[in-house]
Amino acid sequence: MRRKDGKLGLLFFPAFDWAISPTHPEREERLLYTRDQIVEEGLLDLDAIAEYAPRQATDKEIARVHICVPDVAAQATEAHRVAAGGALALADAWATGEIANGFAIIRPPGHHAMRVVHGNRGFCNIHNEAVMVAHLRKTYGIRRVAIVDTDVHHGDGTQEIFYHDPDVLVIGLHQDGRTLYPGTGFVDELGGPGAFARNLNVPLPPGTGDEGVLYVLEHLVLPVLADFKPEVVINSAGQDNHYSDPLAMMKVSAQGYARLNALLAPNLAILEGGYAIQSALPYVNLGIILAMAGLETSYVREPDYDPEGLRTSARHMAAIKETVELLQAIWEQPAMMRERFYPDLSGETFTREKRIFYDTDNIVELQEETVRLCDACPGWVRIASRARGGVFGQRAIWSMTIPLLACERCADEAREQYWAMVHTPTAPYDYLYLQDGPADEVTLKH
Amino acid sequence: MADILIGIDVGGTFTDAVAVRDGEVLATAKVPTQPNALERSLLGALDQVMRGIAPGDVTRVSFSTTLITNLLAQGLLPDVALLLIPGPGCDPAMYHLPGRAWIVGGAVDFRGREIDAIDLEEVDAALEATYDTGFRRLAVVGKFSSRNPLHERQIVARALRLHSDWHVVAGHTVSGQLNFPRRAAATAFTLAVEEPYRAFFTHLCEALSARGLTCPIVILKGDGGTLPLAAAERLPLQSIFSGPAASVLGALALRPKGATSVVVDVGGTTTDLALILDGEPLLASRGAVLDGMALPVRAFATRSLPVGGDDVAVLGDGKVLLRPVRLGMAACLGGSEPTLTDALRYLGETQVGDAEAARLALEKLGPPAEVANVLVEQALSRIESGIEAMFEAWQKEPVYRLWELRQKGERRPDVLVGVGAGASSLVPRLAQRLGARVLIPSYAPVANALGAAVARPTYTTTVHIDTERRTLAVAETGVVEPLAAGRLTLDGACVLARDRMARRGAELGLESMAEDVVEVLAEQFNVVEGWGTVGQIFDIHLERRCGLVKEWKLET
Repeated sequence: MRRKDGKLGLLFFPAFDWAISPTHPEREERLLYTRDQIVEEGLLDLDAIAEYAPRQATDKEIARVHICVPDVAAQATEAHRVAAGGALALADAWATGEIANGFAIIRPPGHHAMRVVHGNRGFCNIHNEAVMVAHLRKTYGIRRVAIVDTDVHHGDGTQEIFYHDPDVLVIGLHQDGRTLYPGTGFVDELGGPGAFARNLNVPLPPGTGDEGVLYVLEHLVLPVLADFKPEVVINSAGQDNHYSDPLAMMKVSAQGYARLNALLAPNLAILEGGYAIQSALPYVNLGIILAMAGLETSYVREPDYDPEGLRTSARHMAAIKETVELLQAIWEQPAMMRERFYPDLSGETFTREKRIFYDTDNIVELQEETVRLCDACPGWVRIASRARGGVFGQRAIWSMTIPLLACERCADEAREQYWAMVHTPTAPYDYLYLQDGPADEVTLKH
Repeated sequence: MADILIGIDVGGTFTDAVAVRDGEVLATAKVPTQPNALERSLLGALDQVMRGIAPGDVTRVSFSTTLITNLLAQGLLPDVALLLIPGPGCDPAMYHLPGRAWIVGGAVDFRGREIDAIDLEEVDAALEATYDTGFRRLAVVGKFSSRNPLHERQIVARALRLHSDWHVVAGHTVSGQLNFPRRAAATAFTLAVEEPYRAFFTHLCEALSARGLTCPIVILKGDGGTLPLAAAERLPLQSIFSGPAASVLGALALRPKGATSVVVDVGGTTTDLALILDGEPLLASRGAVLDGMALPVRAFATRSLPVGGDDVAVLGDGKVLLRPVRLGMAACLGGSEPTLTDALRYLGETQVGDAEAARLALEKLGPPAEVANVLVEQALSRIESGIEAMFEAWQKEPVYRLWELRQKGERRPDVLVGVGAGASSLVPRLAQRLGARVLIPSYAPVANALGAAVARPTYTTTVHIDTERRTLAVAETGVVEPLAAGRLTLDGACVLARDRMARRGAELGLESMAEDVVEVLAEQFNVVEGWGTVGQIFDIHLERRCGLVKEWKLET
């Protein structure tokens, strides 16, 4: 089974023949220099590192997480399947004890992909970590999961997919949503009523450097993880907090990333964003690999590294400390805070409305999401979604998700609702989905 | 009677030789190898096979030899020093390198841009310290030197200006592939072995011309290709692992065309496996590994299993077990303990040795028929799992492109080719278990020498072009040329690469084989700064792959 000593599994799939478009940040060249650096350093020859090959994630593995509209084939290209399949291959190696920990340097990324997928948003279609978590749960019986997202952009897909799951703790460190895509990830997005305080957002002021990020790690992330006691810690390892990233305004260095991963010691790290492909990625990836392999990291340095110029200002540190204190208080007194956030939970369900924008494909989606409030299980989640834009004009779908650990009452109730909807001839939807976790199957009706 | 090809394989136990002409084996020879007198073993086998052949009729003599592997195993390396320019990245102390290392500052990045200049005072001090410690062989190796060899060249020039009586080699001239520790190890090894290697081949050439053999002499490389001796002198490391390569080539010469085959070489103490996928022998994805050190040398992916004819049978917990331990000869050949060979002899799978002695030895463990079958079954299942593991390892090999992943399907062997002493007895049963056809070529015992005789030349050219920096780097020679101005397309880049390949062929004495060159990789990347494309990077890899000389016709 899983072990603490042993090798770092490295899965490198740069997809040298896939791009969103020729000059798009998510293009063929993105990991070229990282590959050069890894190969020139001779990392793959080291005893401490074992290299793995990806496989293709199947429709079933993807559909455990996503409701792809109209189907998986329409949303998941071969590149997406291989990226998700890379995470799966590495998760298998970790769960069976072949490796102590694993780092999947894969693309395309996934942390902006939500449960319902109408198209590409934030360069993402398929959520690699979520597909991996579903696989770990289904195949290895893992229940408690922690995902720490260190990408500079809020991992809104991660937050959305696990918002009502009390067994998945999602912690996001990112540049303040008031100044950066996707404009979310504030401290008050704390999880649904049944999973309150299982979603912690730490928005950081633009200009935060190593000191600020490591402060959050040491004073919030590590103590919270120690309390939560997850069976697996996953790092959504975006690299765009780097001081040279063209899409963000942070000041983290390769040294900072190395230290962060040494402290966090994730079991599995999955590459997310990071678009300073020459000035950051080769060095940041090297720092993460060495840190996760337990090797010396102090020689990793960017050509223009200037620690003095990358300090986190006292004003920023004060703001970060304030955020950390607030989140600490919430983590320690969740019941009291839950009351304040959800004052009226008298009914059997809780409903919220969401507006989701797909920047890459220019789609606007309006969702009504309803979760069953249940003391025995996380409860079913029902989504009615209308999307317009993109290449298809307009689409309306309705979905019912039964979590893997749903109680029988909720599961039966959800199936009844689904079949009732199927037999409603006037239902205003193009597609009806039943994502049945306990039965491990997905049903689709037109 | 012209057009005779001679192949000689100097193996660990035997030195074999064959003479072939027009797809026909004219003569074979087998003499014991004398580890301390390789030259004598080699000439002994040669003289035997040359009986009745006029030296003037021989058009080529090919060798595969363990010389370099032996030299390296004997630990000839303490007198090589390394001067490293590691720049930022990994802690250089983490690398397992041969020889003592000195480290100096300076850095070049993945694009070949100079990040930090070298400090000449620091370099001089390091060079003097190396020299004063007594080193007279120095390998100068920098990270990313194959993208920009500036620092290596500066330091080599400095070293030779300070002292003229030492031999200094720059890493980029030994290997232009990316991989700094491999380049460092290969440079040190090259310096360590070049003198004895040259001496050996000088003697050999003299001995051959004394016998009237004036034809070209070639050596076999680890990738199953040949290299003219003159070129090989400069590239001594290319000949490591030519033994396994010879056996794969031998099987290639003797197997049906195009099939997916497993070459099973059953020896006394090990069984060696190699894969031929659709007629192409599989290369080790990481290159040759010697003594735990990976080297920038192409070699076939081979796997050595601890299963051999000399494995001894014992009783453990009342069960008969085959143990991978050699306690001497098989009983049927005069030894005292029952072995796998005895089991095969008893079952009539081999006619070697005394059947009665085999029976008596097996009887010590139980009813001989039962014991023999149990032993053979154990050997077979070990080899079978070895073959499965090898296919699995190939499936799991990392790929970096979608099209490569698409190519890998489920694949199982169609044919098992048995070579080596124990082949005819064990391989047919193994093939039955795997549902594959079996092929035991008539010249299986000297397949290695045959492989050397009929192998054709191989060479590769790997070109990295950076149009923004206006550089063209050839990995095999370590040359970084300036690139002419003007737009370049992928096709244009391939033309440049083919031209460099032709030039390299001429240098190696391998003209006129351009038609057999395979374009393994031709990739183009846009270099984007900000939101605009400022240049392109092209990676082109051309290969002339291993194969058989056209004089050899396949058995079917």
